[in-house]
Amino acid sequence: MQKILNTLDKISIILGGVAQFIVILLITSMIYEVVARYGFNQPTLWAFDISYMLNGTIFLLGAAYTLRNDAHVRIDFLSTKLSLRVQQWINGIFYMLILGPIFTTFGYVASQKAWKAFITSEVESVSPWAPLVWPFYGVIAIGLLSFAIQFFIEAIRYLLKQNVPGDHHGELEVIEEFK
Amino acid sequence: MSFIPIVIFPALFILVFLGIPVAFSLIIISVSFGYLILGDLIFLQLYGPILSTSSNFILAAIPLFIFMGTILERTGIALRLFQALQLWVGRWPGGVAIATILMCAVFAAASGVVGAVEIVVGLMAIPAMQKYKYDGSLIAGTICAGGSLGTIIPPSIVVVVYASMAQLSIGQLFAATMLPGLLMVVFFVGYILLRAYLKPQDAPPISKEDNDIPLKTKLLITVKALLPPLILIFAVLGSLLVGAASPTEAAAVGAVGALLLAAAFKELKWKTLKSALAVTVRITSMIMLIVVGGTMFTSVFALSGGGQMVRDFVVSAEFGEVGLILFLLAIVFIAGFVLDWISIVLIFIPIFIPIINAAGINQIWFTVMVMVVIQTSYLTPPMAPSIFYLRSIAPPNLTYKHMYRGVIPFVMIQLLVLIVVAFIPGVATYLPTLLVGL
Repeated sequence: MQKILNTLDKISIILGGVAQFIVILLITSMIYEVVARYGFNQPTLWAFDISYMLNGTIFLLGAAYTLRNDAHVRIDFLSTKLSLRVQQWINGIFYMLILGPIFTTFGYVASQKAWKAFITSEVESVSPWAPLVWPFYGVIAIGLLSFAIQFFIEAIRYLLKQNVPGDHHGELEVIEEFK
Repeated sequence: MSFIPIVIFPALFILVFLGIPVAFSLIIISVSFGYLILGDLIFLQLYGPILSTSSNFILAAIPLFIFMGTILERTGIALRLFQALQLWVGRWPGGVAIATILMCAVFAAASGVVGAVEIVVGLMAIPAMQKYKYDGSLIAGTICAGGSLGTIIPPSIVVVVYASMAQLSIGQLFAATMLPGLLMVVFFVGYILLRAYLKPQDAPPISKEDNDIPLKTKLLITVKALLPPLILIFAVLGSLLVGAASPTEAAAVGAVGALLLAAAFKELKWKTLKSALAVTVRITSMIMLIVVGGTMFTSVFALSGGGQMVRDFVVSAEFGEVGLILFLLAIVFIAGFVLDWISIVLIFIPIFIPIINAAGINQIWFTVMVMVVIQTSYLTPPMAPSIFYLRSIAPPNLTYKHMYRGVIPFVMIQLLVLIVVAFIPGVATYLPTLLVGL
């Protein structure tokens, strides 16, 4: 069981790593556009579309990774009054029976959209660049499906008492570097 | 289905207070109530918000502002800045506290995120203030209030998200929040001066020899500490405000600028870069998912006739313009006790905007007032991010009591700024009008 969970975790970790690389790509492409426009008076056709597509990619590929790190913000001043076991049950059940199935369904809808866009070679109609939309739609589908898988993984961990809700202090890691 | 708009809010708050992450609560509620209205079609319907949020180009500035902020926090810029500011204002009454506020203000202007800034500042300012036996509640209040400045001083992620919801121009909103932000800083500093003057035991003056260095050295330290962040601030805000760059491009310039600065001071380590990227992805995903959830919630609320119900209520209540604004701001203020900023913006603002438009109230003016009120949500317990951050770094002798008592005067000052903006709308609306011609 533990092995399966840890293996499945890798999906989120890898996609999260890709999302981190995309942040650099987003910076680079925006700087390229600024330099092309002001340095060479040749604005690119693609900067606008690329900027939102890359941001959407960071978001969706990072969603499961963020869930794995329990970094989605909770309001826990009341719930922490409940016993730990109850909190684990609540989170486990909501993740397993509601959120996992919801995102599986969204992932299914997104996959269908991506597939349809692929076979009809749909292009972005409002953009002068007119890129094919299936790669972006495909990323949305992958992001949502990996998110769904991560919900099931985290649910099992809550039910097995391995996870503590709100245990994540990732954004505070800066402390260690400064102390 | 007319019961839906009435039960949808209590249902949402039950999930939120059960400790289910806010974004997930919004999505669960939207899907389940939406299912009652549309059946299976709801998934196709709510795929819309996922797609539109992922392809929203305004929101693309978010990861870049976060990245810029996290890089700056992880360099020595903060420490140098704090030392330099102390050289100048340290001898004033309450000088160390004033240096803390000023430093938070500079940092807020150089980055769009609140939170980690407060930790960086707190780690330096708490020992410094305790060394001079500052009063605990003044220490706690100063750091929490300073940490909350990031919401109102541009560039602010709160403003980026708000602009995308309300379809306002980010540049105009940044310009609009500039004077109120400065005013807030001035009021904070004024309060500390006054308190240190009236009650010197709260903020004893620092000894002369601690601060006695020749003017030339002083200037050199200051230039080295202050110039880099100032250049960055002007590059980012300047290019954005004159319309030379889109918010996303300006943020990218800021991100590269922060990297270059860190490299110039030889403070750019591989580890720093990696952890900054990881934090960027996590915060971006977290914010974007709440935007998705909020958009879903709004659309289901509208589908169920909630928007109409709110409009009918507002019409029948006959608030008048002043009453209406007070009513809406009061909702935001009260929500701030139990919710964080992004939930407030995503849950309430989409419902408010049509009402504000219908009443013919200036959107920019209203937005700035909302921003000021949202800033209080950082300080008002029990859900007070500022206090959470402070708690994570506070020494044992700085207690909860200090924190809760300490933030009260600063919340009042924020409300004072609100009153100023309310009575003199020009504070918010004048600067954006200058941008139109550019």
